[in-house]
Amino acid sequence: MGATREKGVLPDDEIVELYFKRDERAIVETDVKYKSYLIAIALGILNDMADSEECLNDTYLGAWNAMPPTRPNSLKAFLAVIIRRTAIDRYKSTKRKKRISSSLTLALSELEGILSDDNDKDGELEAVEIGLVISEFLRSLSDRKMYIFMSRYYMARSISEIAERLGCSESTVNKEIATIKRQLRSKLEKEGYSI
Amino acid sequence: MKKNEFLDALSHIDMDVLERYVNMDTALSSKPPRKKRTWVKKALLSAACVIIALTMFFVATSRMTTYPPETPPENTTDSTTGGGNIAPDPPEIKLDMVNFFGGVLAIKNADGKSNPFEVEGDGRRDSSLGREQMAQSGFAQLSVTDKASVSVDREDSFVTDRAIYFKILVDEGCDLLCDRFGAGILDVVITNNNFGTIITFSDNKDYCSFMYEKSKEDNGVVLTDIFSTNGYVSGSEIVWSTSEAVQRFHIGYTYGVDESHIREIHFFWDVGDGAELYELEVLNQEISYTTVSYSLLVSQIMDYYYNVYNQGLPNGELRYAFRSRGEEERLYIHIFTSGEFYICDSAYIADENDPFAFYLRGMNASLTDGHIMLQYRDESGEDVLVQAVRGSDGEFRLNGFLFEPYSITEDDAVNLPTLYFVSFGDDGEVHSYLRADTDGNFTAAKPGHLDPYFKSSDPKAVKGNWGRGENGIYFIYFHNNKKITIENVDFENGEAIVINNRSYTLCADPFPPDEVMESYLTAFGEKMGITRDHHYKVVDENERERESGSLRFYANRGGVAFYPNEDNANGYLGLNCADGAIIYGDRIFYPENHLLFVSPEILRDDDIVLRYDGTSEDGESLSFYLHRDGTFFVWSNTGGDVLFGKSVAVFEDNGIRLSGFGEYEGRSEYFGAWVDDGREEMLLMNASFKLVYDLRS
Repeated sequence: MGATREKGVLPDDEIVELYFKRDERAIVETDVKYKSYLIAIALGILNDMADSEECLNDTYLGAWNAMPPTRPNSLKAFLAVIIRRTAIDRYKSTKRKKRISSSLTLALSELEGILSDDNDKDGELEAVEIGLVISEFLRSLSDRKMYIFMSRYYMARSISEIAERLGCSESTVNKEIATIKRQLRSKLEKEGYSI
Repeated sequence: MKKNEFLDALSHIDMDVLERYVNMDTALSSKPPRKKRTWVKKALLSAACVIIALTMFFVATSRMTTYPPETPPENTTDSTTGGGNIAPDPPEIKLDMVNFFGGVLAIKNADGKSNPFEVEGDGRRDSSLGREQMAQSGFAQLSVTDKASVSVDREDSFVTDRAIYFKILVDEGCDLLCDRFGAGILDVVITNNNFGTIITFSDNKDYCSFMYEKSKEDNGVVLTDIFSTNGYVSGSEIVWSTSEAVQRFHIGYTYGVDESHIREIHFFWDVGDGAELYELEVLNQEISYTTVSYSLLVSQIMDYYYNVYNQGLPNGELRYAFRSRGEEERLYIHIFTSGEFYICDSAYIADENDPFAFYLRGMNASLTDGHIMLQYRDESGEDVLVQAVRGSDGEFRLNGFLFEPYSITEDDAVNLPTLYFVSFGDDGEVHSYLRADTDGNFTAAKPGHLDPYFKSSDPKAVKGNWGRGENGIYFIYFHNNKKITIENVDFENGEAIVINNRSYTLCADPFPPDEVMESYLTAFGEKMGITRDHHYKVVDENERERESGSLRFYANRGGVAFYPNEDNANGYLGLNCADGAIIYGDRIFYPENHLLFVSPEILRDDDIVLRYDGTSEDGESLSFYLHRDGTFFVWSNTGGDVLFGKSVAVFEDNGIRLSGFGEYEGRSEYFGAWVDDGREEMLLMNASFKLVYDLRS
């Protein structure tokens, strides 16, 4: 991916190199290439442009601080992780005060048979363990199902957006989500997580 | 698992998974939008394919005159299209359902003048029922455009109230079918279900079904999915098909357990060999196909071929009701998710004097683990609840008891000569019951002596209700205009504490949200809404009490309502279990088949406390979800869209602090205001839950 240069856009490896050189153009190039992509992720979670833009700035700062020493295999994935974490943190803190009408909220409501509401503190250790389980689960899925799961619950994309990407109906995506939910539930139960 | 845990866990997904996703996402986003079901379109657009578009309509009696069943067709094979000829510039062929249930299917050219094919049905169906059913389903008009030839074999064609069966001869010019089957004779089954219309082609080895759905945009139809013997082909809607169906009397029923889970039940009744039941269950691409065979006297089954109604129950079970042509007997078939089914005879009807009240006046039904509750309105206009129990021996028994399901006021209670109160254990069996007679006596006992029938016309009837209170199950009945309340029943010894004159009609004070929701769970989670009447008040327009600056919440088994404090009937969100309607502002949604969906599975869930399925006035299938956190969604099952209520809180953590009416764009609207922790941070939303004002600082 990084080898081909789009019009006016640096390849990923060159952008990463700018980070390693501590060249502030790294931020500019990242912004040119990935701003809309990253904003979309944050918006899906927060449904608030101002908050999303703040997350974007935090992401750039996070990337700046992380590279070096980190040299990501996929800059796009790396940035997605940062902005998602940033947005999720903001989502959780905002949600304590008010309901957030975002795609993420809706996506989580779809998992009503698996997830319950939150009142307690988050357990970081457990989250890591569950993350491993979910990673394993995702590896077991077909590309299509993995894509739907990640789009919906990781990227908090809307059903219509996913359907458009896959070239199928929203109804189809909904049905596949139902299957994935059932499989996830089975997986989590099998791993001993109460749901 | 908590939502936050899940979100955090996703943050720890391994990078290789994420990279796999990102790569796929990049690849997908770099592609132009893929056209849906390209191979279908390709096939359909190919010059020699059959394009089947549906718009079926019934031409009523006048059309029957044009193509009467007894009139033999002029040609059973069109000279221009039949016999394997490939017409150079073929006309559009229109399959016009002249009189589906009268047993005639006419296929004619698009100009409507010629009538190349005509298929006689068996003529057994009730045409009025058929029209109604078909009209509801949008089964309207079928047209076939083909440059190849299709001829219909009249000899092997027949029509039932659910489908048309006929055979066609397809020549090599029909790409779409020939690609799959080759040229030759194919069985064709056209049927409709809740989702649309299905045309199935089969060569007795393989089948291919085309699923059409009503188009939202133009009231037309669209080809949505194709299924074949090889399973999922395109989309994920299931269609049924089997060549066996062609030879058998068939009733099929499809419904969605939820928006993504579809179950279908099909009966195939052989004339002479009994009957078979097939169940297709589809969850996306996974199809399970269960065959359940049972023997039933053919004479009996044929007597009951008139399908009165069928419905899906909240836990995924199905119930069919049939009645004989003479309308004297009824037959029920109840199908459990396990595949078991039970056939119940007319004894299943509670009221002998009004056997069709069950059908004619609508019905609410719910099924919990071990018992079924049927609610209907009898001749006198009273609502009756009948509870039948599936015993450990696998049979249905009517452990009948009745109670007035809406209120516990004397005027509204059901009159009975003997009143039974029945409680059920977790195993679904009758746990205990209490019997109150017209002399004012009551008897508490273990089960085993419950009368299976009742009559509602006895003038000395007693009236009553029961519920679950602070001291366990209580019973209330009225005798000589005096309300008798019984608590602490000792079923072993038949003793109980009788508490007379205790008021159980209390006003519902505005609750803190958690209490409301807890009460909600109690109300709906326990045997379909046993109320704690000290918490709830009967939903009654005339009894609404208003208090400035607060939102009132009322609930009983008749429904729940969130009332604002202004005198405007349009301003509340109501779930009226009594007549099965969802009232939202000035819109009313009626549950399908008058079915009240209160799924025990859902109720046990931590999040959703109520699901309500209904149909809007314009026919759209809706589901109403009330979450424990107070949010609700109205979900369109048809389109999979959240119509309104998207992530909008009815009860936030800190509750609704204000509600009322105001003007918005010239209309009087209900507004809800959300205030955080008493600070002046306020959102105003109108009745459609659109954000009107954001007053947050």
